[in-house]
Formats: sequence, structure tokens, C-alpha cells
Amino acid sequence: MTSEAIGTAVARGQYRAAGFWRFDTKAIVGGVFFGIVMVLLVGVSDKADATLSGGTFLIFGGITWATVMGISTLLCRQPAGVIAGLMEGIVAILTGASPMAPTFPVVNAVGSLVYSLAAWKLPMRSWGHHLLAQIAANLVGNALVSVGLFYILDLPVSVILVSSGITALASIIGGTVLTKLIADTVNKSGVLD
Amino acid sequence: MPLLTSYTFQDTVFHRLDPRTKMAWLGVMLVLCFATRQGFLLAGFIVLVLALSWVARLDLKCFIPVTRVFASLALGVVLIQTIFYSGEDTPFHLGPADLHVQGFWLAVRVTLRLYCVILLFLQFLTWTHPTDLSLVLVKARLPYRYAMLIGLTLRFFPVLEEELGNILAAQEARGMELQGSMRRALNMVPVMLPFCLRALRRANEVALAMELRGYGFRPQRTFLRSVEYRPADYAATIGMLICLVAYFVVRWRSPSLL
Repeated sequence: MTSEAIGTAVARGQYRAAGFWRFDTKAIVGGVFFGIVMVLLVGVSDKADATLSGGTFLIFGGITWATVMGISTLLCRQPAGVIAGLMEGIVAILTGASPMAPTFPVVNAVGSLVYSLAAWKLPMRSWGHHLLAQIAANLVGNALVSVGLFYILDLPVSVILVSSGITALASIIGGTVLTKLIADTVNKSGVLD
Repeated sequence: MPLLTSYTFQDTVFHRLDPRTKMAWLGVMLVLCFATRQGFLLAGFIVLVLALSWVARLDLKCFIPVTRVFASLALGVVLIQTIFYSGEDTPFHLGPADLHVQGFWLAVRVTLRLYCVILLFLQFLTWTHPTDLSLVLVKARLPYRYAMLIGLTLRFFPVLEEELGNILAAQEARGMELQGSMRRALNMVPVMLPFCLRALRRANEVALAMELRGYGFRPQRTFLRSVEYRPADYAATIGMLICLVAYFVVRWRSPSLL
């Protein structure tokens, strides 16, 4: 499949037909830009989480992460999804956005790959497909964050389990709703044509 | 004040060093930060990073926004560890809460370590030219199509940061309540959607401009700048490695000291 054909399939919302990879310049630059979008929006959300729980429960941050990760992976495929995740992680470390920032490059990259695998196998037309993709990505992502919480912040295991559980649940629900809404709106807007 | 500070050239020995030497400094300091268990040593590392930044004539004000953001996060870590610490410790009671002194000191060590890591990365960013980073990645045999993405990120970060500010201001002008971090997060959707659309549109424009300039046309390309490992770089790298080995030797001989 040519890069033009992949771009057209993505613009029409035919995500399964678009395949797993997309190497054109638009996708790669899109990945970089989504990385910046992710770090800026997660930054706004993290401040709310810091106010709410001192940054232990990343509810708003998790929802924003799941949404932007989902959109970037869905629209730009791979390796752009991983690029977006890596760029977000690097900028998060550079800006001191979160104590967990050193884990972000790995968490984002793995989360994006898992989401990509789901989006590759599922047509991604119904709410159920988006929900399944978010469940897979968020469970893996939050498991990796839990390892970081244990080794970097030295938090007790009980706190980590509660924190990761609440974050994953909020991210799955919020991420599913927002990813589908935004992806549908982007396709309707014609920006990708 | 912008969150991410960009590179500014100063005519110092540090700025003239090869980016790989700066990477080695970053790597060695990261290893030391995560290896040490002593708070005073971590505080010493922070002082060392700040002193070196001052000697390299970096603008120390660029550390302020990050410090401000980190302070609120650090407060959360200290509170959680003081209350939920699960190690062997006799807590003292303050009203209904049990406070753990050991948990407090553990949190102080964790926050000092994280702050040092953040300062190190910020220092690396402010004294390393983005193109030099791309050149190092090209030298590491990464295709230049991907090697130059870090430079692209650093170049477009302030642009998109300004764009987000414009969207927030526009939504506020339409009557949306965006004052305060909680309100801003709750009203995220009407901000997120236009921001994603504008980022996509800009990505399309930038990709077109890059392709018109020959991006990806040939697998190899030439660069105006070049990176080269000079005697000063070898000396600095060897010095850092000696310090690292010395640290682990001292720690192996007397584990309680470091």
C-alpha cells in the first residue's frame, strides 16, 4: 500500500485498511507534533491532579494521556505513535513535568505499540473496539508506571495498587470516549485530506 | 515564562565540548544519583550541577519555572511518604494522622534525586545545540529522517505552547471558566479538540515544506555543522569514568558511607 493510500484510508476512518505502519513525512511530523500536544495537555491535567491528590492519582493526566496517545496512534500509525510517546517523555523529563517523567518514554512507547496492535486487528468503528484498544494500552501502561512508582518514588505497594487501579479505570473510560469523539471529528473536518 | 528553555551559545569550554561528552556527564551523574542513598550527597550533586551551570554562564533563571512546578509535586511526595510509609518506624500522632519520620526523610531523598535528574536534563538542553544532538544520532547510524526529530521537537515546542495559550485565551473570551487548574482540566475537551486539529494542520504544512526542501529524498545528506571528539573531550570523559569507578570502590569498601 502506498503512503498516499494509507493517508486516504486514515482520513476516511478505515483504520484496519491503513495497516500497522505509515512512513510518510506527514505521519512522522504528526507524531512529533502529537508528542508536543501530549506534553502540553498532560501538563495542564497534571496540575489538576497535583491539586486533587498531590500527584498520586493521575486521573486527569491519565485521561489526557490515553486520549492523545490513542489519537496519535490511530491517525499517524507506527512509528509515529512511538515517536510521539518518546518525544513526550523526553520533553517531560526536560521540563520536570512529573516525578515519574523518567518512565514516560518507555511507558508511552509500549502503550502506543499495544494500542497499535489492537487498532491494526480491529476495525475501530464502534465504541467497543475503542474500549478494547484502550483497555489493552492502559493496563500495560499502568503496569509499567507502577514499577516506576515503586522504584522511583518508593511508594508502598498498597498505595501503588489503588493509584494505578483508579488511574487505569479513569483513563480507559475517559480515553475511549474522547479518542472516538476526537478521531471522528478530525475525520469529518477534512484536515487529513 | 516558557516552560522549556532553549540553547543559547556562550563562549565557554563546556559549550565547545562534543555532545557525547555532555551525554557522558549526564549518564555518569544519573548513575550516581540513582546509586546513592545519602541525602547529603544528593544535595551535593545538585550544588555541583548548579555550580557547573554558573561556571558555564548558563542563565540560572531558566531553572526557576521547573523548580516551581517540581515544588508542588515534591510536596505531594513528602505528604504521601510521611503518612503512608510502610517500613519499620514508630509513628508519632498528630490528631487523627500517624506521621512517619523515616517516611519523611525517604521522601526528601527521593525528591532531591528527582530534582537533580531534572536539573541535569535541563542543563544538557541549555548547553547542547539541537543540531549537535541530531548529528550524534546520525553518527550512531540512525537514519537522518528520524535523527532530526529531536531538533524539530525543540524548535516547535514554543510554537505549539503559544498556540495552546491562544486557544485557552479564545475559549476564555467566549465565556469558558479556565481560571484555576481544576477548572482548566474539567473544561479540557473544548481546548483539546481545536488544539489537536491545529497541530495536525500545522504538521501537514511543515511536512509539505520539508518535502519541498528535499527531506527524505536521499538516504544520506550533508550537514553544515559537524561533531568531533577532541583531546579535551577524551580528558573529560576519562576523568568522569575515574570518578564513577572511585565512587563504586568507596561504596564497596564502606557501604554505609555512600
